[in-house]
Amino acid sequence: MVDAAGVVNLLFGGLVIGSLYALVSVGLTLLYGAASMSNLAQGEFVMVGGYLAYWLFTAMKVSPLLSLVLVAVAVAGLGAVLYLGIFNRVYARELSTAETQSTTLLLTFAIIMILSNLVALIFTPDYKSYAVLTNVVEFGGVKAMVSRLASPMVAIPVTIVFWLILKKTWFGRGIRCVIEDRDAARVVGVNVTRVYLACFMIGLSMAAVTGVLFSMIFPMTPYFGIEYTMASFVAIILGTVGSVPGALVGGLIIGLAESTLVFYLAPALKIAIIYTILIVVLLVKPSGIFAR
Amino acid sequence: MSYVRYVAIVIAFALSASASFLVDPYTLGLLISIVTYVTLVASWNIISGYVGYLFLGAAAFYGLGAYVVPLTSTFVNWYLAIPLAGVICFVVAFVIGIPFLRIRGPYFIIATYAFAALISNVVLYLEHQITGTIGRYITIQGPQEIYFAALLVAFLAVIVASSIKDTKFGLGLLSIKGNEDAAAASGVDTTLYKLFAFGVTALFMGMAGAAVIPRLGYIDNTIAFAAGISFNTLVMGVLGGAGSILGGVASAIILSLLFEIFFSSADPFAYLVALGCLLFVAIFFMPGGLGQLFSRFSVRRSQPKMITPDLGTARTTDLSRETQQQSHVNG
Repeated sequence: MVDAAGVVNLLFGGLVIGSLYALVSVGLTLLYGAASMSNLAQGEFVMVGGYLAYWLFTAMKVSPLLSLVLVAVAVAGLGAVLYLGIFNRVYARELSTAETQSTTLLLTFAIIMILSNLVALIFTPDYKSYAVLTNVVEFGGVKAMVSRLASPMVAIPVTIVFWLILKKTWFGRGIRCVIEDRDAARVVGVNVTRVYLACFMIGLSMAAVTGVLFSMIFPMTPYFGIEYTMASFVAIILGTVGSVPGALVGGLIIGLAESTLVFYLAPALKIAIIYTILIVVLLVKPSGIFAR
Repeated sequence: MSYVRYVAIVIAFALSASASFLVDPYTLGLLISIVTYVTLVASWNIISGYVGYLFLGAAAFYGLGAYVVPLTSTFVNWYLAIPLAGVICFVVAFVIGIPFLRIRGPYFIIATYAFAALISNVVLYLEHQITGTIGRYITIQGPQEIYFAALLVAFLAVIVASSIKDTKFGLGLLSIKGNEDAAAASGVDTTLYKLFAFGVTALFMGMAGAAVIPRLGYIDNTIAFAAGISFNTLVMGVLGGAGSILGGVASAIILSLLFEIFFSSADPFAYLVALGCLLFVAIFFMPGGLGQLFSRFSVRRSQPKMITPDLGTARTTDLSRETQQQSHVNG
């Protein structure tokens, strides 16, 4: 049906989409796993990151590669404000994990409405895109635009470095401790509030960085966030909630499944493929493939 | 339900039905969308308010019900298609509920959103594969007929949803919300109860879709399965207070009106941002929703009933009954 180069191209496309899913999912698995924050607005922070990069590029002539850093810092600050201003009051209510999950779910639901319509108000709801890093590089018969290449080259190292931080440092150990058992972590002296703050800052800024990478490749509307949220929920459930390598692998699997199955089945079934994966995982192994 | 309640329902139905003769076509259109959301929120409350499974897939059954109308138009008329859509949705919900209702917590919300998106995609795909076209035409019905049908469905949904609570079935559902494992241990057939609750929810959602869709004369998967329907239903249900039918109806009416005002304005986005902020504040400060306010009233009213064993209260009720009888005789 297709030659070898076609297959490689297909896999490369999957890798690009998959690495974006992976990065946003790592942020979500951190928020959901450690802070019980069911962030339905995760995709909206991707969208906000994308629009910030678009604005920085078109109005201020800032290269998206620099925006990666600027947007990451800005949204980490936004995450800190959100946590210190609002969400720490939710945690102060001492709810059970399930109640925290449903309260944050509904609150982030409202955040979706606020953020997507705010962006539509500022940038109009029409498609926005910009052309950057359009030079083509070729390796092994595969041609790729630099802007597309940037996604896996940024997303995968960031994920791996973050995983190493979790594994090797005391700070990371504290986060893993909270993911494992929040109350026990508090007993042994982990500053849970600070872990939550870190999760909000890192989790949301990873989403925003994903958005910057996304904006370099695809046109955006203010309403594309929800599909991203759902895809990354599928990825973290697939790769076990709270597991960073799980989120990475889950994201890559979904990206590859999307690009290859869409090609071999039908483009109309793109969303159906993601959700079929979700429903199968929830029914067959709800704890995910990285469960111990 | 008491006798007074039946009278109140009949009067409310007569009033809201006759309203359609007094208003202009624009307002009638607005009334149709209000009663549609009343149906969706009241039925949403059965699975989400009573059983506690937050359902974000109203569009799935609404759309499925809507699609029943064009697909069956060659052998049944529209009036019969409405209950038929309800039955089909009940069966579908019962079957897909078997795997889905095993999923608990926030996963259920994601899975049901996924289900709605999945069914929309599959309908689009099948429609294109089988007929080669996307979208179907539907015989347009007059706004009066649609309003009556939608209103009837809404009243049925509200009556069923609010009377379920007082039955053994309803108590079983509430016990699942309280603690599913404990409910199962104390003899509630949780699987069957959940499936029936989900089925009844789907039944009314499907009927709502079938009742309203001839208004447009055209249907495709983006109209029938619009994700906004699922989101709006959940928002209205939560703001009304999960489990409170009265709160749900109130919030469905208020929010439908707000949406109408916002979307018909020249620049809806600023309003929608404001609505988002309002929603945020409401969830943050009022986790029980509008239902909190209503339950405060009803607790006060029903308190004498709860302490009937107390002699003093019993005597007062007797006395009042005597006075009533006397006045009746005198009158």
